[in-house]
Amino acid sequence: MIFSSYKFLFGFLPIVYVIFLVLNKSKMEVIAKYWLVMASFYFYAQGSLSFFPYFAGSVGFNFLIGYLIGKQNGENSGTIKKILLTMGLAENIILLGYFKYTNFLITNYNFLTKAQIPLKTIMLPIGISFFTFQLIAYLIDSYRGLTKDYSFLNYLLFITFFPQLIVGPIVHHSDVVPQFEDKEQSIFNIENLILGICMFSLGCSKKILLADPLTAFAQPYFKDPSGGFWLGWLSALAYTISYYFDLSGYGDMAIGLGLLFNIKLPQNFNSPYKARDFQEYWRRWHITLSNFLSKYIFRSIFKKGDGSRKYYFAIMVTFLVSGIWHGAGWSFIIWGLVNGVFVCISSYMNRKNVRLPDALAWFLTFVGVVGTRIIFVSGSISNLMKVSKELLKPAEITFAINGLWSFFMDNYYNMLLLIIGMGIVFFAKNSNELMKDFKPKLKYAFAAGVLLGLSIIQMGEVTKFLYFQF
Amino acid sequence: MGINKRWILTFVSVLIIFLMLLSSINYIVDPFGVFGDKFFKWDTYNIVNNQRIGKIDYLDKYHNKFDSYIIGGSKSGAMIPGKLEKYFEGSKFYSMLMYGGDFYDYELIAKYLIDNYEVKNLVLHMSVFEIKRYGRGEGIQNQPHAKVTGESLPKFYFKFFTLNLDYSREKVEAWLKEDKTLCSVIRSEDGVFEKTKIDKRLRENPEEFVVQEPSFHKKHYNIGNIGLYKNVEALKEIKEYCENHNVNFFAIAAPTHYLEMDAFHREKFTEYWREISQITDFWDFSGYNSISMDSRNFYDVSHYSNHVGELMMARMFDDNSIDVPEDFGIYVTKDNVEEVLGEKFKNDK
Repeated sequence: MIFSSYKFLFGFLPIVYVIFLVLNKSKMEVIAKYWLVMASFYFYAQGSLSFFPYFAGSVGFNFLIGYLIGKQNGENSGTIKKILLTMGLAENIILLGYFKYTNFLITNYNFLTKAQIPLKTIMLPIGISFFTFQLIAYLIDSYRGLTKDYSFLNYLLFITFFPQLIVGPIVHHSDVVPQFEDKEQSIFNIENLILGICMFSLGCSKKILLADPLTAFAQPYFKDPSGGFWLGWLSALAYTISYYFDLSGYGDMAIGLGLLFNIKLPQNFNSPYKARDFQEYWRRWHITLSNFLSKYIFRSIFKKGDGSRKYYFAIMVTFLVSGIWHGAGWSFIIWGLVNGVFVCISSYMNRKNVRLPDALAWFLTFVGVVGTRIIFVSGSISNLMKVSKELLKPAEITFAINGLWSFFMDNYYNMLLLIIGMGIVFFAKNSNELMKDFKPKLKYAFAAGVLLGLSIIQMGEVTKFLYFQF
Repeated sequence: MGINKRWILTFVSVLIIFLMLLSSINYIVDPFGVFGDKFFKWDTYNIVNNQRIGKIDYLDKYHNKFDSYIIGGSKSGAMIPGKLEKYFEGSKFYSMLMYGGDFYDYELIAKYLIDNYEVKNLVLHMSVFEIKRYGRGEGIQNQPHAKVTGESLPKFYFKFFTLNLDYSREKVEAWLKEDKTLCSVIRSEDGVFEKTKIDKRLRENPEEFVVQEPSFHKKHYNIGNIGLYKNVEALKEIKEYCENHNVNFFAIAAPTHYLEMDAFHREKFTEYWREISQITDFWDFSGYNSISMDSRNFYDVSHYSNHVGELMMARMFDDNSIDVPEDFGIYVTKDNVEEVLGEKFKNDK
């Protein structure tokens, strides 16, 4: 079940929300929280029923480990805590590794040894990459003594809370558990409801009206890279823009839904395409992932006072992990490493106070972003080679100039969408800036209604029908 | 009223207006004809969009014109109702052909027709390809009608009230186009394909047609057999349902192009034929014969021509006015099935 579907909007959400409000109104706050947990489990099971027992088991197991770690204060507590932490981390990594990377490992093993081990039929459970990181953070912080007083119920809500369960943001326990503990959370707050509606409508329209059609336009080129120079570059640009609207749209919907339940989820995107270098870009793009990687990977390698070599090494390792996290394939690893190199370069320039003119710095950064997106969406190294060859064909470039007008006529609608999208990402305020100092003016109600209404009329499935050419 | 309440009211009102707009457009344009297509009155388009739904809605209006039905997948499009009526004297046929049909659909449709209309004859056209699958097809184009499945009608209509507007846009665009060939490939009045153009191409230069059709020039990989037993069970249900309701049941197995035949798993095919023959006698046009070995008898690897359909009818009903190759078509019973299978695969040994 995704947020931008009729089933969610007209079925799941109203039922969960109304019952949550009624329970709280009836002073049954604890039951209301359990209701939210149950609803979240149901939400998860709708998307990944076969994995659900593992998910529920893993959530319980991690709490137990965290709880046991917190209880250690005896003579050998340090060693026991380390063993418990290792067990917890191993469980999370094995689960993630099995479901996400088994076939990747088999493919590489077969390639290297000429063996013919058949690939396994493994469906990737939804949200596993996201909640695994949340659980790892929880365990590490339990080890560091930062989670001692969390009740099982609030812990359950922290992991399972449906708005952030399957596509993030990657919520840190310290962001939300205190909110779940707060008595205010159970009190109906109409300001939060209004703000939540606005954020949800904005996010939904980003996804349905911009991201989905741009992705549908761009995808075919990267599956079969042909069609010429302009189509190739337009597809690359469209994919770059659609990725932002897709992820940030989903993030906005999650934040909006969180607000309905009086929970403020962290911001995940802060106009990343306005960045003037890659270091800044990664502070603005998928912020909660960057924070996690910075806190638990980068800082565990690089400590204050370490030299610059270790600093750059830590950056490269962090981005290698990021690449592996994003997908099981060599193209993702390359994508991570290229990002790492770009961040090292911008970090070096910042350290040395080398400052390019703003427009040039922004332009180079955006070109880098498009380039790394091409690596990301190509899916495999062989396809990446094909795409790169097509995009950089000199003959195509000469031919392209002649065919520009007919290309424009064939693709004007997608180009229009792209121009609107680029206008928004480069020049408009982002969702969080718009919602800052929000006042419930009626024009916003109208705008939110129009955006959600337009999204709803585009929401149903679309499958093209096939004609037999008789 | 406070600003917050007015805010919510405004938001909800705008949203309701949009939902009403969406529902109204879907109702008026009615891209699948589920609301009776009162404004466009374009049954052909609705049927092309989804045969399982479009034909049921069409027959609900016009079923009095028919008393006999052909049920099958897209291959059955060569069984022309008008031609069949020559051999089923006094009957009026309608073709229920549907893209990608299997016995899941055939059983549902057969029972719906028998339960709701007057049915004298039911011709079941088996494409053999059904062996590959059993069950509901994916996507809205393959969705059966809720009237047929017995699912909730409000839920069914809600889905079509809230359809993505792209479907309505496509229908309006098709309506505005002068050339409506592409969206009129199935005739609403008898339910079969409109093949005038392709038949002309095939008749005028069959050799060139064969050269130009890509499916005649590639290998067709193994056709799976996951639907074997469920399909057979459904066939039994259909046969018994017909007998219990005094409907004349008539089964035909379609001709198969030799390349398609090559793709079937021999043992499973044999098993399938044995199982079918235990349930019903049937006319078998599949396998390797002088028709299937000549690509000029097919539009593509999966679809035999209308001319072949006429040959089949002549064979089944002993029509001496049409010359039918000796090796084309045999009546299979449980008594001769082994002999038929032996003959069918004699060159494999």
